[in-house]
Amino acid sequence: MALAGFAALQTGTTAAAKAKPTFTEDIAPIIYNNCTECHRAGQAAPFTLQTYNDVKKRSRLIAKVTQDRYMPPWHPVEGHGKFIDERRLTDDELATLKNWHKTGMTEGPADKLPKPPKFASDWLLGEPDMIVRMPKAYIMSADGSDIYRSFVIPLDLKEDKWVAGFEVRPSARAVLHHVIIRIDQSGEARKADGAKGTPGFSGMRGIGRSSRRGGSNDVFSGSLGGLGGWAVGGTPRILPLGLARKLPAGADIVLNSHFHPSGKEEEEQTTIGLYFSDKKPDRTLIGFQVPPVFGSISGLDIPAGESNYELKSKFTTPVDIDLIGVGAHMHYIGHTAKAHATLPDSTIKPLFYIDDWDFNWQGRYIYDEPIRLPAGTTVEGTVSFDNSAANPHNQFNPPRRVRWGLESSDEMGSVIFSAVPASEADLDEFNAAVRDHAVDEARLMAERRFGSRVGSGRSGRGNITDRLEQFRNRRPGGNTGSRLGGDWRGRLGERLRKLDKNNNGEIEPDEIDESSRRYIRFIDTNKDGRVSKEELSQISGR
Amino acid sequence: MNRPRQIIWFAALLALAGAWQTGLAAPAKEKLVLTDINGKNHTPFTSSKTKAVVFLFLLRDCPVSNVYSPEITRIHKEYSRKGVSLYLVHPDRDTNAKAAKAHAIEYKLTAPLVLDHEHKLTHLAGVEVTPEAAVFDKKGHLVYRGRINNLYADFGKKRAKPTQHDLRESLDALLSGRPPVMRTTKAVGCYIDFSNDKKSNK
Repeated sequence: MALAGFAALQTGTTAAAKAKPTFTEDIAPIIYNNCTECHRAGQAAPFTLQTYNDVKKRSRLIAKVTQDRYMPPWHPVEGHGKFIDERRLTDDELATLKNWHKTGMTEGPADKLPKPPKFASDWLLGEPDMIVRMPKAYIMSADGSDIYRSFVIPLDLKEDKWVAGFEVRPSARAVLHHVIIRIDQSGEARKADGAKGTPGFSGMRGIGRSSRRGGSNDVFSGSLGGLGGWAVGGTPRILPLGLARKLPAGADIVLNSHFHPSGKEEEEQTTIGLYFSDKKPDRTLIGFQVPPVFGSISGLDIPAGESNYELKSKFTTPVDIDLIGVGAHMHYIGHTAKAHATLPDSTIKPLFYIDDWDFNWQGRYIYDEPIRLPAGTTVEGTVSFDNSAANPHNQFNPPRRVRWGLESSDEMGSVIFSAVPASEADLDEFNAAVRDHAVDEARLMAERRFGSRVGSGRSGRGNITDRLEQFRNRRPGGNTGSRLGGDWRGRLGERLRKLDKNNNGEIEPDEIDESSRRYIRFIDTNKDGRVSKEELSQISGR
Repeated sequence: MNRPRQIIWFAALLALAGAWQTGLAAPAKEKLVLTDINGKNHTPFTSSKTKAVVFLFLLRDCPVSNVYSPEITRIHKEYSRKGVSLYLVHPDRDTNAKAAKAHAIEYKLTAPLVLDHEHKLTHLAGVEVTPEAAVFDKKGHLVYRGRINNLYADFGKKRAKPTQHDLRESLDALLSGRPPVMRTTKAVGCYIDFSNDKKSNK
């Protein structure tokens, strides 16, 4: 009995997988549909997988890396959101590949071979509306650590544009692993690029943001303040629902690029094709994160050796929204990122799950159908970290305490959603809720930290001073002497007065320096990018 | 029915494995002659100056193999001064002399290049992966087989930098004159294709 049951179970799991598959009948369809797009000449993958011989020669490797789900690269776990361009093999397909290797890689009848796929040799979305390129090539060395570097592409656009899609074309496909396209309106990035002789500037900093509400470069935007990202194997896509991201006149594109050394020196000069939408979209894309602001205000502090450190946060939407896409952001010791929604009727809807985070794949995923979340739905996000010595991604050996920060040896952690209000009339309310979420998170952390209640009730616009103080206390590495109490208001006032270089009692965008930007956004309550007299008086006159 | 036979095989395999663990395998042929891609013959085990011989197995289009190129060349430069003979071996049948040479120029590889389409050296060393190293003492005993270092924990799991330099450590131990102990590690990389070998080989 038990044996029979076991046998049934065995056959059940591999029902569709043939015991002795052939290339032409069984293997070629899997390879053509899932591998050849990248594994062909001129693409990022290292070798071609187009012919019987190509595939036969690597059958053991193919069986192993598909079994490990290292290839094809697709990280979200099945059953937690359905996305466009999913590249996930079924268990049957895995078994077929394995069986083919085990049984000696039979070629099969020639007439059964499907037509090899044809790929557009040119731009995948057609001729772009605008093609831009890094002004100078960056030389990536043969050896050493991965490189994170930012490069400015000056645009000098005379009018605002709405970007509906883009395609990233690396010149050195073996070394450019991923790119996040940001927007800089401050001119700071342009100044920093090449200032030390080599093209670009190190790290991901120095990006100026306008805080215009609802803009794709709003600091609270889940798009990481830009147009989106691309990683090896990524397919260019036009945003659904006629959506587009704003590329303001005068702004520069900043590429946050991640390089792997390949064993030889390579030159990268990235080209971007931009696709514009004719008009401002009817609905506005808003980003929200759980935990908010990349986990910066959630007290992220991971003890050395801790293998499962969790950070959790909830966001409740006051209006009906449609989720468009999702992704996660963590650094090297990030381990899992998960999110689900609890609808007002208590239904639980899984939204996203990465069970083995890999810093190399900062993917953004677009839902195959937008997910409607009715008002009152709570989205809960959990990110976890493995700071043990057993984690090969741990930069430190032995492990060290890791806190929130901008360096890749620090950590960040959030699940990032992009969404639109179901009705554009609800935009302001949705936006306000996203901001309040961050403020509430800061309050929660401050309470936890100081063990006393700060302020009372749900935060409103009037409590900026409290929020600000809490946020200042959460700043990584800085303000160690700043505690609740003391004359912090006086100190802050002095600092703000210094920023007001033209002495008109307001702080204009060009007066805001990089170090102040982090807290200015809590003073600039109407998010117009400047601090008015009225907003200033809320600080001093309380 | 054939269970007893299976057990015997299993026991024999165990004994064999044990022998590899505790002692050293039979020495490689003293008269081993390697012909590099330029037609030059090498007899690594007959030179009195040679203290160790390293075969490093590579694959031109394996990214993991290529990533190691700078380290391979550093090891070649540092250790050839100390009496180590290092050979780069291509077990891939699609790699001819011309392709091997072009690849070496591209990745700045300096050691002599040897083609092993028949997999004689590959089987002598017992390697299955590229990149993988095999270290022999001067008498031809295999003393180390495995990864160059632990830069990769697995496919796609690359450390910021290696924390164990296995090949260098094996060579240092051998050069220090300590009695050799056979050691193996698991190499991460691309599998060598044995599917065209004669049955007797694999």
